[in-house]
Amino acid sequence: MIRETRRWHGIVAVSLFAGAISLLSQRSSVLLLAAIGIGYAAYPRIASTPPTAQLGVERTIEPKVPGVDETVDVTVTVTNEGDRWLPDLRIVDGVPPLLSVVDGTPRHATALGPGRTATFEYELKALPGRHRFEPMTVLCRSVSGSTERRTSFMEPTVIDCTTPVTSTTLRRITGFISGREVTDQGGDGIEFHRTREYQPGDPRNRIDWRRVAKTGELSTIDFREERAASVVLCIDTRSERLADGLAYSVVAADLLATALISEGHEVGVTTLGTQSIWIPPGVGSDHLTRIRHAIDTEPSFETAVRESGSDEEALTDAQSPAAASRSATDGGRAVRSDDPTGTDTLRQRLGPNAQVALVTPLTDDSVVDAARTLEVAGRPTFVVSPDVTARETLGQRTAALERSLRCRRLRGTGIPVVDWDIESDLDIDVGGIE
Amino acid sequence: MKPAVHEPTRPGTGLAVSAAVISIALRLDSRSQWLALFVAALGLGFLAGGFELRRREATITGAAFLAVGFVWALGSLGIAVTLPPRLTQRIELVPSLIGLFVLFVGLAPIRRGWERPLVAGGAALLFVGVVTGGVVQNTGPIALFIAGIAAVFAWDLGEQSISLGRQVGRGAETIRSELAHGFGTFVAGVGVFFATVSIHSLGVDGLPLGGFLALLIAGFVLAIALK
Repeated sequence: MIRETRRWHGIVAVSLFAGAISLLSQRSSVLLLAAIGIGYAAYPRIASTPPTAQLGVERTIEPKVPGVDETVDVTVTVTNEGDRWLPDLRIVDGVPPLLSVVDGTPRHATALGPGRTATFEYELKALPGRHRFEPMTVLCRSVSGSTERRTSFMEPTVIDCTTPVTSTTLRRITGFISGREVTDQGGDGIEFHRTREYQPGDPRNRIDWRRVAKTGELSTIDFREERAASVVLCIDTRSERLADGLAYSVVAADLLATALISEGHEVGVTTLGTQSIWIPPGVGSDHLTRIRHAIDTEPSFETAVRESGSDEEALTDAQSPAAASRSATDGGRAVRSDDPTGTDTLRQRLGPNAQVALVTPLTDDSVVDAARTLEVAGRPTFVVSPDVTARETLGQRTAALERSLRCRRLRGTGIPVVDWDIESDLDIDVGGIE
Repeated sequence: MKPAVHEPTRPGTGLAVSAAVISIALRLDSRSQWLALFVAALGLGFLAGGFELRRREATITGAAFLAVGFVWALGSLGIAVTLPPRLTQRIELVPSLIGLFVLFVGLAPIRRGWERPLVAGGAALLFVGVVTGGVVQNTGPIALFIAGIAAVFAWDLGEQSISLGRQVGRGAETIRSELAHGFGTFVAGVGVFFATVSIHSLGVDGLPLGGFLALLIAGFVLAIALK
């Protein structure tokens, strides 16, 4: 995208002023000054087009897997891989939105000849979760500064600062894959449930041989069945204005997926609204890698704040053109306008034993309706909600109050809500509610 | 979180103020004028120190520096108004010095959002000083022309400093970009200088100025029409 800065537009005034004064004063030396305005008015026309920046971007982070609150050194190296001189190159690195820069700056301006390299460094403070870098914004101006070309470069880098979820107790489920979710149903397992009368076909290792020896009657021991839950993480990506809400939702989803898969549950991922992403429930470390790859690379999870547009020159810390062009379709199918949250589509996609973890900052009422629709449709649903509301102004306090009312409404209809205080560890315990 | 400080960059501010000082210095021809410029430069040094100290939250020392700088700046204006022997020298110097200070406070910046108007206003006053010098003084056409280019240069470097400050912030390293941009503007200035000198050397002094001006306006109209 090329933008005209109109920097030199007023310079002709210099010529007109000098010309007028020279006419009045009859001084030829003053008339010469008028040439300055003419010359500089022509200058941006001679050097008008900013070169296209062909850059090689390399970003290294140290340490690669930092602990919570640890400082991460970020080194960005930019190489001019084109054959033209870049006289005015302005770079804003796409810092992960939840991480703060504690030293240095992720911004740099330089001039780069062909094959030349520029390096800049800064430090971030790590927070729990996986944090991906947003696309780097690069502005290249012509040497006169009259035009500016804006591009973005994606260098996928993720800061992995995953902390374990302190506990996970899911809603009672009835799946059929063995796992860590203990049910009230007897069967295979470890924990004793009851003894019952032997029925033909019962496995021999479950016959209570002591009782046979004592009484001569055959009886079978039942253990509490341990089954794997099938959980679809449905991430609310609709709110573009609340980048923090989405960023923390993505962090929560990543923590949840890691914890649930490590406990043997099936985990799937989708988004609320357009459902541009659908990863069916699956198990194992390969599946977790697939989920993480989606979280790290899908445009729907980009949390960059879009600039307002009123100030063309201003740059936010992370911008991404991709965020503006979020997919409004589902694999070519337009999302129905009467189903803005996409719950109908989601319901159809869910298996009979799946439960839904709706990960949302709860910033509007439609998400409450979506949760209730899923629950009524027989899909056990629980909500994991990072609390990103501030309480400084009256408006912020009102938003916080509305959010807590939404939590209450959900709980009132039997939908458990994990209200995650983002300053503390995530603890999923929704098992007590059926 | 350490937010980026979106204020004009330090190297750009230094370069712009230096260009402004050169623009004034090229036209000075009396010791009292040099003294006024020297005192003004000292005042700017104190003001710059004061703004920097205030930025680092040394408010009392910063305020003291600003007060001293302000007194020096007023003193330089007082010298410019009273000491130069000829009235024409005073008329030429005062708008230039005011322009220098306005340019500086625009880049300091004295107030967010006022950077561009103040820098443009300061550079305009510098140029007015140059034109005044051409009218009331007998400054040579070459020195006058270079002083005019230096005034435009000061404005361009200031504008570049503001733009970089807004986009990458005061904390970022920007010097290479500013030097490259300044070099481009300098080369353009050299080109304009030689083109003008070569036309001037053709000896067209005898032609009526009104004719020249009409030609100039016609050129503008043509350029606008072609655009």
